[in-house]
Amino acid sequence: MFVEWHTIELLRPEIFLVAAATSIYVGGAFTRNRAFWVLAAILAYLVAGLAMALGSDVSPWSATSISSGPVTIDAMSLGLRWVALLLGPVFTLVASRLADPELVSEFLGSLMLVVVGVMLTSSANELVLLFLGLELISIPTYILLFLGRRDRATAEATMKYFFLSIFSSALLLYGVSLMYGIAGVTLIAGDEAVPGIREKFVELAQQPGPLAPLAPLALVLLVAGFGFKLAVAPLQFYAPDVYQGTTNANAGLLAVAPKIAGVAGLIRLAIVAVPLVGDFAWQLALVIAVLTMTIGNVSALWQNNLRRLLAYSSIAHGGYLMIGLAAAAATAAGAPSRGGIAAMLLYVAVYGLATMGTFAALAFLGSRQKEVSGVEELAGLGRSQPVVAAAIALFMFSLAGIPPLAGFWGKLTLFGSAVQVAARGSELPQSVWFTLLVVVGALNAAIAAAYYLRVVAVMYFQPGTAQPAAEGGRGAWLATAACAALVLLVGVLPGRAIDAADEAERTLTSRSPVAAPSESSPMAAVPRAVPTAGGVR
Amino acid sequence: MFSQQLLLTIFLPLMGAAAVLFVAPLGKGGARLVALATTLLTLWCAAQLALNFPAAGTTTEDFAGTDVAWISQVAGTGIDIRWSVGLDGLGVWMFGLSALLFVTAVLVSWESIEERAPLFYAMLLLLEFGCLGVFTARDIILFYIFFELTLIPLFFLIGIWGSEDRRYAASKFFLFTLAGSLLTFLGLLAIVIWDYQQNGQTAFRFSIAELTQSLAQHPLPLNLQTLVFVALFAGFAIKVPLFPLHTWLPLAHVQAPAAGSVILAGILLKIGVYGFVRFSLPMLPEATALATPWILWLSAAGIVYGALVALAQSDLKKLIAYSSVSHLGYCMLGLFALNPLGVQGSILQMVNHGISTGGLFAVVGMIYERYHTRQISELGGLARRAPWMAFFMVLFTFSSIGVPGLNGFAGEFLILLGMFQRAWVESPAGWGPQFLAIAVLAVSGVVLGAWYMLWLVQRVFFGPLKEPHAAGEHHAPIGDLSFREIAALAPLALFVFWIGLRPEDFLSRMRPTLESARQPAAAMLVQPPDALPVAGPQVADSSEAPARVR
Repeated sequence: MFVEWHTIELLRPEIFLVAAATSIYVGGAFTRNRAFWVLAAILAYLVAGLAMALGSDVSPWSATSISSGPVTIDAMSLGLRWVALLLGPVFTLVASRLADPELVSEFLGSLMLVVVGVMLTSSANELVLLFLGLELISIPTYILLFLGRRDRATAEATMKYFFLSIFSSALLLYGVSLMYGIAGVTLIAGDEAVPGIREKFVELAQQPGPLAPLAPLALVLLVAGFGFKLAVAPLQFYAPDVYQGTTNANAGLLAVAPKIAGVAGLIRLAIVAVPLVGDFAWQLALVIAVLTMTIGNVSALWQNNLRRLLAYSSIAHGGYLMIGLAAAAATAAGAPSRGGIAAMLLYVAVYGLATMGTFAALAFLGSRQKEVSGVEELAGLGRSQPVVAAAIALFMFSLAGIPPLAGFWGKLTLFGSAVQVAARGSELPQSVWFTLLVVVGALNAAIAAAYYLRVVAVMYFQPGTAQPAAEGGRGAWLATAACAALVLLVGVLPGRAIDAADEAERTLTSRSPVAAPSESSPMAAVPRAVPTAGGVR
Repeated sequence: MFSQQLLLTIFLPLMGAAAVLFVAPLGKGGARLVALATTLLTLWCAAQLALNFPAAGTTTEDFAGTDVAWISQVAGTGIDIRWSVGLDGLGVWMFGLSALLFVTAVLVSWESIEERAPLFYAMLLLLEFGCLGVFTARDIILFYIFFELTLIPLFFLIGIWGSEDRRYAASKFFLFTLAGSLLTFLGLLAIVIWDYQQNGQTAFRFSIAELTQSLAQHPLPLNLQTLVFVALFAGFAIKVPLFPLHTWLPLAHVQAPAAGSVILAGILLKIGVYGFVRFSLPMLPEATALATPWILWLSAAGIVYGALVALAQSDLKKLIAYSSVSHLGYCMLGLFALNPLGVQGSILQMVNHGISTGGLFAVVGMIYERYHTRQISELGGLARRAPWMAFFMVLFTFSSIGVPGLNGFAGEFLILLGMFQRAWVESPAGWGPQFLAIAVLAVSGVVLGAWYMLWLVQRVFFGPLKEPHAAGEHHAPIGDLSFREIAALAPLALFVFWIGLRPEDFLSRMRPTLESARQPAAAMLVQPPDALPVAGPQVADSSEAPARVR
């Protein structure tokens, strides 16, 4: 009964993409035409997107979900799957002129599998599927890293990533097996009839079994495993070296894809564990958030290599995401607040948009022989490449959280969720710590602005010496422009995105996720005037 | 009808910026024409709104308001961010001043901006969009968006068209302001969330009016209020700038192009004071009362420090920049005197400072355009060469030092009167001597101000003629002001006299708004600090009947 036709139906886009990726791998043996494979890959993404748009009964703007076996399709999984489906074409376009002509089908196929991995992770409601989804991201990534460039730095970066990634997978697997050991089931969120880990943990919180004291250990291991994906302290060390050692396109993929998957995993697993670990969850997340933000931002200040700078920036954003986790955990532990999960989801999406765009732009500015690496190489770009420079400036301001760009709304919801716990005065013991957290977060945002601004200043204020090659081709240009347009659009009209993230949180925190699609969840955090069924309003 | 006009006025500069970029292929000539037309049209619209602003009414309702949902279709979140703009007795003056000064800014840049002129004018108009928006926004998020929107264009204006050290100045300006504003933002978020928790967790309201009302009914507990006040203070005090947070200002002023300095001094600094009046005073009365002595001391220190440092400057722009630190100290002093005289004087002085210092920076820009120097020692006797320039310089100097009959006098006099009233008659128990000392310090600033400004005018404009040797390389022969330059300064001169001779025209229209903003905090101040908690406005002392100034 575990695998049903319904499950397969829900996973149609993923299954189609896996088939397409396999065909691209195999077909690559017959023709090496780069343009052909790029077109084929984009077509495959379009078909998958179409299948998802038409084939699902749930809209991202409704607090409903469909579960079948190990898969749950809810607002969160839909939202993140769409982000993943955006990620594929962006990097495919970037590769349209920059990928090694001899290895193009391998590159595109592996990329497609990474996309499928992100999609599976965000819909997984079962420990094993979740882990498989994460591995489906990791393993093609190893190949991608090797495909990027073949010199000593790349080899070192790849080996470093490979070993650390395996290490983190082991930690995660350990944590997952402890979860299974404590709960006795692998389903994450079930219902009264088929209890999952969530239900078991709530039960165990009232009558602790012999294994319940292991829950904090499981949480630490889970956070460590996902923390590697998010590049949060103390598992952030690999990021700068690996990003620097690989191509701009690969670095962009590394900065975005694992982060989305990590957020999805943390939301599904860590929050579920909270009833059994109590306050420890938010304390852990809070400490990690403070450490990570500060390490990332302060280190980024001194970087002259763009990919290193963006690596530290991505570490810092991992830290911001942990603010959301801390707030969400505090909510789950009983604080009268909400919005932590929604903030994490929105934040990772807007961060992903700006980061993808930045790396696409950098890839466009380089050529296959010589990548753009130093910050100084961007000098004078405001004149030589006005459109790309404006796009990069937009991404930098968005990452810095300047309104009215997409990044601002991410920061707004994130800080909003934490301030809800903080603005309680002496009522709540957590308040002091969350006040500290938001103040450190705000100061960090100011520090971050310093290095983002430096990039902008170099582009516009410093006369250029040597022009960058700008041989990325029209594909990379298009990817950049599309990301820039989306950053601006989400910035000016963020309503739908905020809404979708909120619905995702509502679904995840409601008690009966397997409810029939038309019923509103009875235990939703806030009573709603009119329960809206699925469909676009 | 006025509502639409207000919307049009706010968006005109944005459309103008797009139009400037559209005509960019025509180069400098087209761009500056479009920019001038846009700013003039904006000024015309804004002037109509300001002239039609209800006179001496008792109403504190917004004039020409628009309030539509922007991000509130969001289903369950309860987030209700509105596109809400309007004019009240506080914002209308800054709104009008912005529209006025941007015309000057465009005219001042007319010849001096050669490089990438279309981008320059587009940035200038974007800055105007931000300025007009920030003083009309009636929604916290909208306010914050416009607030940050003023940073980015000025960052580029300083960074691309500034002098030698422009990159450092632009970054320092941006980062200082941003660091403060992020903390301010946290404070504002805390207010919103407190309101959310009080109103039964139904909606996150961001409307400033609703929040003010809500906080009056459910004031924040004192410890939280203090925390929020400090957060707001961080952003607004940097923006003002209050001593000792002023270090970014002289640098930014010196490096900025003339138009940038005019706008920075004339308008952007006022956002800080505006923020205190709009948010801190009405929403956090207890914390304001507690902080009053501290802020008064810092203001007085800023007045004297700014004046002393200005005395020692050899660079024209730096001198005027430090004089701004001193003058903004007066604004803060009057504001935190928390009585009608002081607060009205403070707001009037904001406008005055915008006009006189804006004018001064414009004149300095004209000097720089002719001689390519800002060193006082390299100049002398310019009145012979350029009598019109000397006339305007002397006029704005007199206005700045508060010669009776000109606008500066009306503002400074009210502020000092308010401060002495607070110190002698209304000082909270035990604070009398300190407040008196502050008032006396502030008066000494007036003397110092007259000293450095008059000395500056004497050195540069009178005495034997002295011009730098490199003079005339580009702009020979060096003559008096052109018609364009007179047109840039004349409207400012008009207001120097208007405000100086008929201040009541302005004061009467700002009074109701300011009273409602001031009273909660003032009511807290007059009690001994022990009896602070949960006092309502009913204990406001009767001695504070609104005084009329004639």
